[in-house]
Amino acid sequence: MNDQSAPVYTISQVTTYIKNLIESSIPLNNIYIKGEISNCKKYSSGHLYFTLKDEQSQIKCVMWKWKNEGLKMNPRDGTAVIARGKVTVYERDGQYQMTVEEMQEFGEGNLYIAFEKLKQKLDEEGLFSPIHKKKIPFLPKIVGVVTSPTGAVIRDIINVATRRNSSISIKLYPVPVQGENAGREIAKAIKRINEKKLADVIIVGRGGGSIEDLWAFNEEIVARSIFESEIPIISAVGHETDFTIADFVADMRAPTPSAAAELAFPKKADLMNDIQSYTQRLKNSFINGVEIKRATLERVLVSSIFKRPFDKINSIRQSLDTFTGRINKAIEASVERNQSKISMIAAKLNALSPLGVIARGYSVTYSKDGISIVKNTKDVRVDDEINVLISDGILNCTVKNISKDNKNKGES
Amino acid sequence: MAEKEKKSAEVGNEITFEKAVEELNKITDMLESGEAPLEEAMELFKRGIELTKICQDKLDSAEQKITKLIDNGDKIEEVPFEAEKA
Repeated sequence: MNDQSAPVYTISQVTTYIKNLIESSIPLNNIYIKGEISNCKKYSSGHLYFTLKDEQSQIKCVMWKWKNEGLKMNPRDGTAVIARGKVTVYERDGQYQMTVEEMQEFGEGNLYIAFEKLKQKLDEEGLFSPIHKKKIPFLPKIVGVVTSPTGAVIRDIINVATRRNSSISIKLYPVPVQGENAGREIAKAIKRINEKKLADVIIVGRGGGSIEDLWAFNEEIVARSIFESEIPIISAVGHETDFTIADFVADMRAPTPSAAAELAFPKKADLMNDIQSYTQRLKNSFINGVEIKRATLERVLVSSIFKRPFDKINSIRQSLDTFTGRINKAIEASVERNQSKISMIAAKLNALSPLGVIARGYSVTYSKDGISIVKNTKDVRVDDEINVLISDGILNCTVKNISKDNKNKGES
Repeated sequence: MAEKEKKSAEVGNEITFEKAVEELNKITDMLESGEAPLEEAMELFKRGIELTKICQDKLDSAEQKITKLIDNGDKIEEVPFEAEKA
């Protein structure tokens, strides 16, 4: 302390030195740190202050408003997280801290991201589309169950099934529902039941648990086996609030295993009642129908056609006579009309006929060959023989003289 | 599928319960409307009663069996299953 030659620094100088040292460190500039959140506080400014700690150490953290607004998690004390950011120094307090850029939940958080990724991928592929949803059979003969043989699911299903419908059988394909092989085993079970056509509907499920416990039902291999199943599938995974990928792909999602069983096993007593009521309605409506027809028949039988059947025939006969009379008159009138028409036409034709003209005293002169008509003096010569057609015969004549004046006619 | 069901409905023995109830409902409605001619009504009634029998048989025919499947890779065997108390 007495060494006069040693320089003396201010706190600010030291702090600045440390700050520069830390903040220029490349590894500390962009670093991932995992730890548990504690002392988490969000100020009215919107900035988030908290401490990340593990068993031995802790580090103060700040996440600015504009960074923490995009957080996909709710930062709370005790949450395990992975934070990315840089180590900085807060000069006023002489304290190093982490300025957090991004943060996600560790463990559960990572699974959540994987879940969201797979969900989005399968959704884009159309695996969740309603058009692929198969109808759950109304009255199956056999219900296949893919679950653990020791879990609550199979017990619940058997309870519901025996209570509701004692004619539907259950085939359990036992599988582990958590652990490394669970997904593969569940997928295989669904495939095998399909191959051997062992059931009319399949319930796939397990009881509640953490997201890690339910994880097999978020695996792609399970999702695809459900999608490819030709047998309709009801999913029943965890509790009502748990949604797994399997639930989205399944043809129907039941909130609990018991609810799944209620969907698969219709209540026999209700159905029996329904059928009995149909039987009753059938009988009643048939008897009523026959009664109505009998009443109609009776009404018809007392009507006049059955009492005085010839009334109708006589009336028909009378109208027949009337019709015959009318038809005859019509025909006669028509014949008369046509006859007078014909004589008129005949008279007209007669007036136009050359024979008619001849009958009135005119004659037609033909050359000797009888083909061409002699129309003027040029058509004949002296001594030509000609034929003259008159009303009752033909005159054979010889031309003696030709004069162009039509007052001198050739004579026979 | 629909085609297959339709065919089996004509045969009458392998009709599904649901289809049978559907047809039964239609027949009952027709009879209740009272519009069917007598011969047709008789046919409908006969078919209706037949369908109620089919439905009852389907509800009652089988005895519930609860089995566990044992998959040995090739064949799948079945053994009776008793739920273990957890």
